[in-house]
Amino acid sequence: MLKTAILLSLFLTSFVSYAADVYNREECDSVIDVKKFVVAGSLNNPSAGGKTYNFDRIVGALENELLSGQPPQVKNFECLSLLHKKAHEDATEYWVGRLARSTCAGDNGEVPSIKPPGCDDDLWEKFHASKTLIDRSASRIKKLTTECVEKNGVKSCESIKTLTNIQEFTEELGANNSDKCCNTDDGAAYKVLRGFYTVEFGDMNDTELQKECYKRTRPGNQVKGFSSGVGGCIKNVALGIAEAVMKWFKTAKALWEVGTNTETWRMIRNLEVSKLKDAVLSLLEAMMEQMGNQFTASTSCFTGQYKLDQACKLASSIAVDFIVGGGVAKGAGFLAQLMKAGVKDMAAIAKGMVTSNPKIAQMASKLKKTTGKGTTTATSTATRAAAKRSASHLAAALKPVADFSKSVAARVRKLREKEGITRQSLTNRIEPGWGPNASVTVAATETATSAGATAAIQTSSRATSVASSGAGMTAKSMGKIEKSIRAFRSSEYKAMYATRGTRAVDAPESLFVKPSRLKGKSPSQQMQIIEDAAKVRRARAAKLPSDQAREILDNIDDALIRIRARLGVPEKKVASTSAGAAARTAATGVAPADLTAATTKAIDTTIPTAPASTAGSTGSTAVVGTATASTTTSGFTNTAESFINSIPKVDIKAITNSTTKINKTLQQQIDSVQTFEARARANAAAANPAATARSSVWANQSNRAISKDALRRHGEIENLYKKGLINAEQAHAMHDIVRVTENSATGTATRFNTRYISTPNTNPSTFVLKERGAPLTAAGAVGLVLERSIYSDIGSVTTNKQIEQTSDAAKGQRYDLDTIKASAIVVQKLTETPNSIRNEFSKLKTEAEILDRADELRVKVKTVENSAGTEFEAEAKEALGELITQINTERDRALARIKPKDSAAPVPASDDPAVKYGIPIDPEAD
Amino acid sequence: MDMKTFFTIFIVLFLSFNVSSETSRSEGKKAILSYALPSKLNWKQSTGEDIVSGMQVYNLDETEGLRLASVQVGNEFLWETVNTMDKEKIFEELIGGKKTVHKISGVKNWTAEKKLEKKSDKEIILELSGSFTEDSQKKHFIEKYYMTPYGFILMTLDWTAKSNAGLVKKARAEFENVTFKSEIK
Repeated sequence: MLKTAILLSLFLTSFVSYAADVYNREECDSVIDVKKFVVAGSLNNPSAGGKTYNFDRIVGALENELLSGQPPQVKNFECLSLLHKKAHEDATEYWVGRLARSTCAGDNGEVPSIKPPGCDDDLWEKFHASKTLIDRSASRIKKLTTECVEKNGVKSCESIKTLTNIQEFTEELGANNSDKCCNTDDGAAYKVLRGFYTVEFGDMNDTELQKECYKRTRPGNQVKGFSSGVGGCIKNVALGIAEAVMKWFKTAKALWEVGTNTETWRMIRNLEVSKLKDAVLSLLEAMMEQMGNQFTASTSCFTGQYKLDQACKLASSIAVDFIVGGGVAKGAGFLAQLMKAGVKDMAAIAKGMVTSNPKIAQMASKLKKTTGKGTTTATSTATRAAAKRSASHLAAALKPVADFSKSVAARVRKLREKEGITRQSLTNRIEPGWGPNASVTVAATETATSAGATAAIQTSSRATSVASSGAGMTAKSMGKIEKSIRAFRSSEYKAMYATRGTRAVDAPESLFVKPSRLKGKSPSQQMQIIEDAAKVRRARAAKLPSDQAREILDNIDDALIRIRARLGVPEKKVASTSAGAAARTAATGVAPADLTAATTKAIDTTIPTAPASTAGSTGSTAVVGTATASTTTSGFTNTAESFINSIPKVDIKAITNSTTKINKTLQQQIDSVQTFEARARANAAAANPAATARSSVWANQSNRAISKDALRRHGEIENLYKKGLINAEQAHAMHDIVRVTENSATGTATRFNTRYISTPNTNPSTFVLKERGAPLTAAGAVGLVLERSIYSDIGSVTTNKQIEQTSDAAKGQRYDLDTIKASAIVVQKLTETPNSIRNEFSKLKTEAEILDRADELRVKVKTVENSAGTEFEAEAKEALGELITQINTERDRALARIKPKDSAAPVPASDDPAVKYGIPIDPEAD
Repeated sequence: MDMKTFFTIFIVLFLSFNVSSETSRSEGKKAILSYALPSKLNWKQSTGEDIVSGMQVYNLDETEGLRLASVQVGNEFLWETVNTMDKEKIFEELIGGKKTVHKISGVKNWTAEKKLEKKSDKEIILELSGSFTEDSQKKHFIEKYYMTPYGFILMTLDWTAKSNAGLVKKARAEFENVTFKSEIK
């Protein structure tokens, strides 16, 4: 029943979205470069927050379209405009979600000009920054399309006029969809009107009917009201038969008809209403299946409200008009059969009806009928021309977007009213309760960025969705959650999660092939075998939803990097191997990372960070959660090497097997968090017999103790994921924070290539997610040192604590920023003069002092070396290696110096060219 | 409060059933058909969006299969037929229609007692009571048709062999006392 309702709802939803003036990917993706405008995330992501739009680029492209001096392209203009509308809509949805719970929006839903008490500073500032950006983009477009903006002698109003002319001309020339659909010979929509709408249009001649057809297939038709339409439709589905009886009662002209109706009604009234609804929906589902072709054909023709009407007609009224159209008695008779058969046999009835029912036969004959061709041609031309002019997508494209603030306010009010949301001060959250319907204050993840030429806004509706969790969910929310649950059922997600969570990275080759296959092979052969296996994995992962695919592909890339490093096999292609996701990202057109300048930016799911400082720096943008998200992701994947050696041994194969077990029982796990927890523990126990083995699937199967609170929070995270309120990446990151907070040290493994990192938060009910920063290069470290020491920076860019948290080195082996900086200074000093290293030892008098100093210096050099990512230049690495050699040499020299003269080795002078130029000392030379 | 035990509750169902006939509409008046059913039983009405306007269904929690239902319909076409037709012909027509449905729905052994009461020139009450077999189960019914020039009310009482006999008896007795009324306002 629910399935059917959801199917129907989704079905109708898709109609509506298709029918409305929205960005149509099929039409527009080949026309404009979407990646240029959606700088993070994907348009495929159903969540409003699943993508980051660059508003300014969209507006800039529109301006270019109209003011470049080249003839404007209708399709380009339409697609850009519709993309802007979509961005605007997503932004609105995102801010509604964020503001509804906050005290920043007043009782009327509006955000006042003065910050209300309790309103989070960051939310306040970001909203206003967003508003500025969004309003400005809307204003620019409005001006562009309604006024005569001039640039280099080209006027936008003239371009618009040209566009209109082109549009009309094009439409006049070509046969559009209306023509095909309303052709009286074989037009799908025409046939549907003739065959299905027997009650409504039964008396019309072909000409009149074709007019009706054109009216219903105009591209410009609008949907009047989505929710009321679908709601009404579904209700009608449930009540269709009962209402049909009422209708027949009202139209009965003979007592015989009353008799049929009263007897039919007897069956209806003796059925439970819910069963009746089931019966109707089952019937309709079966009918839809049976009449799929007609259904598809007709609904692809009808537009706007008529598409919705048609869907409803075929869904609910088909059991009414369609059946009644065959005569009251027949209709009642069929209804009686329907009731008698019960829910289980509905499909069979529908099938039988389609093949044998007289009414169906009648309908089929009408569908094949060809009539009145001569008459309709003339009418068609006139009607068509009128329809085309008014039915242009251009009109939709030119329609201004709604006022952002007002839309947000109205929808905030509506959301609060609908879902009973109470405002909360973000700074004073209350620990949420635990349970399937727990309301958890995890809001949108917002991207912050580094270099800020980009003007963008990331939107998210997750907060909205969170607010809707619980019993009072709307059908739409339920549908969304259902969808997410289906996604959660994906074995890939679980596999991915288990793989990460169990730190299955110490033998990454086993992720691809059995280790035995690699025995006796050369490193390059081994690498080839592994890469071949990885190709298959990649292909499989690529079929998954983008967010899941990305994570798995990142995993594969990272594993390959590590394997390559271990085997000592040089990279074939820098683009494909050096930076995993970064390479892919770069290939897809997003600006590559500026690794040297990258810094970790805070992304706070609940308490957003301060607006990026880039706002206004270019004079063109207000930035909210600015953009180039791929920067940090790509950089981070390079740091895998830094902690690999500290990962405890686990049996990868066993883990994988246990993951498979989980997959098979995933449904039960979803149904019961407790069951899942128990199973996960059991699987982990089976997979990790060694006392040292750890895994960290959310229920914590490790040998370590974990608090109940952490368990609860892990559960909440999974709950959020299941509900579709957070994506997989965020789920990983949030699990991570629980681990970090719990100090179980299991978090590092899961963090290493997750897009987001998480940091402990003093408020246990919130999760702070940060997008990963690129690793520090040696140059970057020195730069930071200089920044602090020479330019007397007021404070560290990142605190030691944060560095500790974000490092991938094993706990206790991590380098904090100060250490790196200090090391870099020392290393720098060592290379200042040819005698620098020797001078380090020159005043030391004991063997212990010399050895200690040598160790100390080597550690400094190694620290710098290890802090570097894989992009660290080979030349620089070699130079650091040379430094080590020199340190050792000078150590030996110093040791020789303090030894008795008779046993001392000759010590070269400090101006020895070999030392001066860093040439290894040749003992033979002395 | 135990309604059944301590109090005699009369369900008086005045159904605001507005029927506009040609005549009354031209005079700016409405015809209101209603019925009243005094009852000591604890009928529970099915409510919610799932109920079609004009239909009412009542059940008793205490037993299964005992159901009271009504439907009110504005239909001015029928009155002339009912008013002018022979009594036997009326029932023949009505039962003929029912039997058409029976063929499809598998109802067997359908029998009915018939009764017609003409209260006035503008009110006729038809009554059918009988039984039939459906799904190998014996079922019983009483139907009352309150016909007027403005439309009609159909009231039914259904029960099965599984229904509590005592409650059925009480319900039948009460159903006999249902009264109908039409007003022009």
